[in-house]
Amino acid sequence: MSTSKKTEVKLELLLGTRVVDVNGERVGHIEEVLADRDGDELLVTHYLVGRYALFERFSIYHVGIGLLRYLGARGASAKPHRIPWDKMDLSDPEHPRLNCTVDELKSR
Amino acid sequence: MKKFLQVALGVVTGIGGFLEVGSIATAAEAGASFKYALLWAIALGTICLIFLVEMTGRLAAISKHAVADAVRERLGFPFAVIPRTAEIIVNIMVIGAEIGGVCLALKFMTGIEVRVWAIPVTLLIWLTIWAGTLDFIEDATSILGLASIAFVVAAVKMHPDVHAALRGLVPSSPHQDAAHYWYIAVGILGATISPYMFHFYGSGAIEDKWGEDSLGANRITAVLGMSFGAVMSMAVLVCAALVLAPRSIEVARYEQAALVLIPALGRWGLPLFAATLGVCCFGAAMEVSLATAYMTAQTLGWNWGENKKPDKEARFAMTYVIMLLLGGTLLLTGIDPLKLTMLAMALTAVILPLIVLPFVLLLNDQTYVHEHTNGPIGNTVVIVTLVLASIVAIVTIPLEIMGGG
Amino acid sequence: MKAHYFLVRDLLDNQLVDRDKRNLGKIDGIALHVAQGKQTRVTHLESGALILARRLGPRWERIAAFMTRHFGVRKNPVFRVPWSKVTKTGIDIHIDIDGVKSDAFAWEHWLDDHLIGRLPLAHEHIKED
Repeated sequence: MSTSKKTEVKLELLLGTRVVDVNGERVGHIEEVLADRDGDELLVTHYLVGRYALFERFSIYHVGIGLLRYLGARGASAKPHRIPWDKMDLSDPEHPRLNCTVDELKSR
Repeated sequence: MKKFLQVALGVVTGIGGFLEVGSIATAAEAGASFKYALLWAIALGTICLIFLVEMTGRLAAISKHAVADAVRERLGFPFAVIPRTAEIIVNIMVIGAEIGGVCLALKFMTGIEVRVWAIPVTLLIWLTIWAGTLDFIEDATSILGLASIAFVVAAVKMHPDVHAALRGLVPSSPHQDAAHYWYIAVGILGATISPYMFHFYGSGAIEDKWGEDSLGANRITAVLGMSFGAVMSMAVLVCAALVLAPRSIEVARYEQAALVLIPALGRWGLPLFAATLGVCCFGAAMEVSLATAYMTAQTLGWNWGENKKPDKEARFAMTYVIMLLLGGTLLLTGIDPLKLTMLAMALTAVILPLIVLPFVLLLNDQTYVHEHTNGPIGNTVVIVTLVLASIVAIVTIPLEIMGGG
Repeated sequence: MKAHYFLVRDLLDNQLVDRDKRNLGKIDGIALHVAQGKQTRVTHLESGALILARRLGPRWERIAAFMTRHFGVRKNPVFRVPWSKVTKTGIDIHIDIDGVKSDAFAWEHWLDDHLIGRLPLAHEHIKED
């Protein structure tokens, strides 16, 4: 894709797609997209990726995490990945990828 | 005064609207085959129903959105399409069975075969929905449905063994014919916790413009209305236990169920049975058709409303017209209404988990119900209902094969 | 209108309502404009059977495309609303459009003209307008 090309991406088709980082390492699935209103525009700020993002979407984050912990679930990270808009490459909307590594993302 | 009338009508709706072809068939079969042993299934189903109906009304009153609306909005279309499609398929069968119930009632009165009545009855149901308002439909079916009190009168007149009946309220394992026993239990749960009731009740609440001040009336309606309705259903079971069981008559056809009022009410027995069956099924056919239209319109975002002129909500009106056509056509194929009923009840039991699951999420979502979220008792009951519905869904098809008609 | 949105939770699948509080369908899809070096933004809210079918899978999309091509009554099978037309958000999304004149009402008009409106008592006065 050329650097100046604009793309229309359908949010509903982006949902559930698997995200990998710049090295091809699996990050998770896109479950939610955050946006801020700026005047008349609605600008995307972050993509929520990972299974716990579903809890955020259903507004049951604390209940969901609590229940999972009660049931003995362990996880390296109990929070979804919050990927800034400029770290997500959507040039191929069916195969979104980060333009950094997962570690670089975690160190932010 | 207005609140009192609202509550009174809600209670009457519960009484008059509870009995329909499925609940009559399953209760009669339960009583005929196992005497009082399955009373617990009606009680259990009713407790679950009371909580779910109250939640439906609360959701509608606070959010001004019905269950189908909220399920689509919160859980998304790819999820919502599954229970909604399943409900449409089941509802076609239920409408066919309810129309069949009305036709059977007319057959009992006139001797004229069911298939002859199918078209005129379907047309009359359509015309009542088409030209009537929601209030008219609710009022008429509720008041006429009070004829079902005949079952209570008959049961009392026959002096049932009260202790044996009370023991039937405690779940027990059958001594024999376990597959058939659990098959009927599952059918009773499917007939009692009918998904169409949530769509009809919640949408009616929105059409009646319920608000936060309606929550008390909603609670009373749910508890008293459904409880009194369950008493009607239990009365059918008791009558069957007293009349059919001692004669080893199993309910393989509705004509056998029609015998239950004769010993107690004499020559009035059959006409009252026919009147009750006819009125209750007529009301239920309207409710299920409208419920399907409500649910479809709300899932797809159309305008909807029984109180609006059909030309203003053409897609909503088209939906219930199509549902009635399909249900009526099913009956014209000659299918036995009783078999259709039992199959519809079993399939309802299969899809119940998907119907109940959203209640856990929606009634704890402050976006919808603000500070009126479920308490610990409400949440416990919904989760227990969900677990129960899941177990029932898994065992229904094997039971249908092993213990069904 | 609020400042922060969860696009899936707060917009996708929510009800679209016109300036006269008529239902115009659900938000079946959301179009994002992605350009190199520029912040991604929401451009349109979309509604229509084609959008819905696409969410279920390519086979359903093909069936919906066939149906809309041969039996559709809308000028455009996808009803698109620019984000700038949104006036209020909440459980329902209000837009500054006269729904009756829009493509969202095409099926209502067609059914009224060809079927429902032709049945007796369709315009009768017992019910509300």
